[in-house]
Amino acid sequence: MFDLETAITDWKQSLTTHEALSPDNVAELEAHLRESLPSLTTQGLSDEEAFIIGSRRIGSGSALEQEYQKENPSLVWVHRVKWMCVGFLFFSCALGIGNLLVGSVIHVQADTFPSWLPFLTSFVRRTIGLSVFLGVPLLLVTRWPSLIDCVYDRFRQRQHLFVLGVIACLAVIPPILDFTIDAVRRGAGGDVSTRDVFASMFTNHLLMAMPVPLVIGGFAILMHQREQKAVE
Amino acid sequence: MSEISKDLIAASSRPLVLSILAEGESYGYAIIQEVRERSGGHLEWTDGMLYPVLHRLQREGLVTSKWKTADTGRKRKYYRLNTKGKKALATERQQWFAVHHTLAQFWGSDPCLT
Repeated sequence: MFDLETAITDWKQSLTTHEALSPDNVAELEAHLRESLPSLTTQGLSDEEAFIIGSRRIGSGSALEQEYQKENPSLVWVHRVKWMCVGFLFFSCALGIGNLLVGSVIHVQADTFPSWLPFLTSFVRRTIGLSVFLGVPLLLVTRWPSLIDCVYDRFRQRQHLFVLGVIACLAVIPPILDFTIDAVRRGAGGDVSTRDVFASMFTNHLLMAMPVPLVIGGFAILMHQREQKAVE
Repeated sequence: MSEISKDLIAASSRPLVLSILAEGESYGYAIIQEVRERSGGHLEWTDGMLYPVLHRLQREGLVTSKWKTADTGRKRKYYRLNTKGKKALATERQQWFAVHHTLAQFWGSDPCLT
């Protein structure tokens, strides 16, 4: 038995697999399909026939993707960068868990078990920090796709400045967070000067952050050039 | 009349959409219906191809869009022409008339666009 709602849901699902179509684009196409159905059913067609004709008039997923990609090339590489960010987050989590395990083993053997706590807090802090840092922009561009084009146009105009900006953010924000948390924890007094702590954290994060935007930026530029060639 | 070529349909989509929106805000399905009606069925668009055109106009800052719920309860994304869009339409109009007048000198002016 044909169920119209199930058919529309499946059809939407098949459209979302195409990278060039944002959720907003799919919602707009769904609205169009629903709008076209009553005029077809009043001509005596069944729900199933109306759905088949309506969805065919809108066009196949690949044909739509081709057209949408011309207007929205940025969306495709944003999808790829999104997955790269997810991969990076996963990698950093795996690294953190590895560190935590190795640290725990060393401390258990050295009979200084309670001191594994700083490892855990540092790992949790780093993971939350990175998730927020990478996750918030990703959520924003997924929720408001027009932001992508805005950022993308700026990126295209000033690629180098953009990459430098991301390096600066990655290098400056985490140490500031660490520094603030440490400062609160240490209170006013401490055996190490706060300037030393800040300097070491800054260098640490800068070295760690350098390759990330370079790899992401470089990959994005390569992808963009390939897509431009494909469109031409 | 034979079917209008894809290239010509693609080229005329922009001035057509701008002209329809100049008459008031509208949404995808209504725009397609309007094109079908006004062209006497000669301009057959694949429905889904209209939206990239609308999105391009929006990216160029010629139209604005807003999701609204119609009286029927359906959600629709309405597009509205802004001042920059009206100027773009005036430019398009001049260009298409220039092409039309040139062709009309060779073929005669029937049917007349004005």
